[in-house]
Amino acid sequence: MFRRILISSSTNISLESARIGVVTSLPVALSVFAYGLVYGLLTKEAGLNLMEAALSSGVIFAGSAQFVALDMWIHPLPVSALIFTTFVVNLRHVLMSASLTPWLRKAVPQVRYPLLFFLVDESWALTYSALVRGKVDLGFLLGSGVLLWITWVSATLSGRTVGAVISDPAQFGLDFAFTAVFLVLLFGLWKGKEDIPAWAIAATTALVVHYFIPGKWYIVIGGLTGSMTGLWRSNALR
Amino acid sequence: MHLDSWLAIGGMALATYLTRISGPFLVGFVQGNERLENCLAKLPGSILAALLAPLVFMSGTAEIVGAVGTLIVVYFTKNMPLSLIAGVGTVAMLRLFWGL
Repeated sequence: MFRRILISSSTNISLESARIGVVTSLPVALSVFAYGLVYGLLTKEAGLNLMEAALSSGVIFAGSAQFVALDMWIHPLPVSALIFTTFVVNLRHVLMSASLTPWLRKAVPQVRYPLLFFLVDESWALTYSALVRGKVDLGFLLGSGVLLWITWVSATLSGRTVGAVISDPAQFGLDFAFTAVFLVLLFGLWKGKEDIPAWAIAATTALVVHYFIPGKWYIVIGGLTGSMTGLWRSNALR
Repeated sequence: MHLDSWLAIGGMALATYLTRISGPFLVGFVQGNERLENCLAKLPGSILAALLAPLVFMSGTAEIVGAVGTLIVVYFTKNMPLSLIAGVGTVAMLRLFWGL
């Protein structure tokens, strides 16, 4: 099935780009693995059985939402609250997939929709940065996303069955790996002074929102506020 | 597996997937509007800046120093793995030896 998809749309999803996506994402995958182990371990404490632990990572595939859900995992489960919380925590993905629109438009629906399953913070940031450089196609997201998915699911299973070898990844600075990746990617997006207002406003807003509102709203609100500088710039041009 | 577990995991998966596919639909609404398209161009950098701000500025001294270290290395080498090692290494050392 995969073969057919790849061939039918060879123009915008290539195996070569997928390979680059895998290789580029390897360092991040290490950190994802460490956190997957912790998640797996915690599923045991939260009372999920092996099947539930595996399924949650396999079909939800959204780390922060899964960690949040563990705190709410008491039978009978607050099903609608769990679903709503997950939706809110993951709203940032709306903005991320929106930013990939120019490339997604070129992909046929039967490629676009399966592909978007693999969009997480890290695969998005890596893919967007690679796409704007123009050297790869959407195959990058496939490579990066599938690697992170395999890593996340296998780490969950290992953590659940074997226990986490590293119970506190932060002890080794592994939590900072995500920060460092995003920093490197933001550095790569730098085009010049005209980026300063958007980034400064986004960062400041995010800090304020993060302080007052729990959850991941700071990414959504900060990102949107920063992008509003686009309005101001087009006014200045007229 | 309980029925409520199936419902919860299935619902959460669906909710997450919905956020992942809905971006391009929303962009469809602003298409053709030059000012909103300018905003869209500013979006990726803004998301990253927003995502990073608390990670860097509200975590602690180790993270701020680690961020500076990461940026110095990427500035000179343009190499992601090296920059990651520098950042993670700096943070790990600061936590280990200075308890930051």
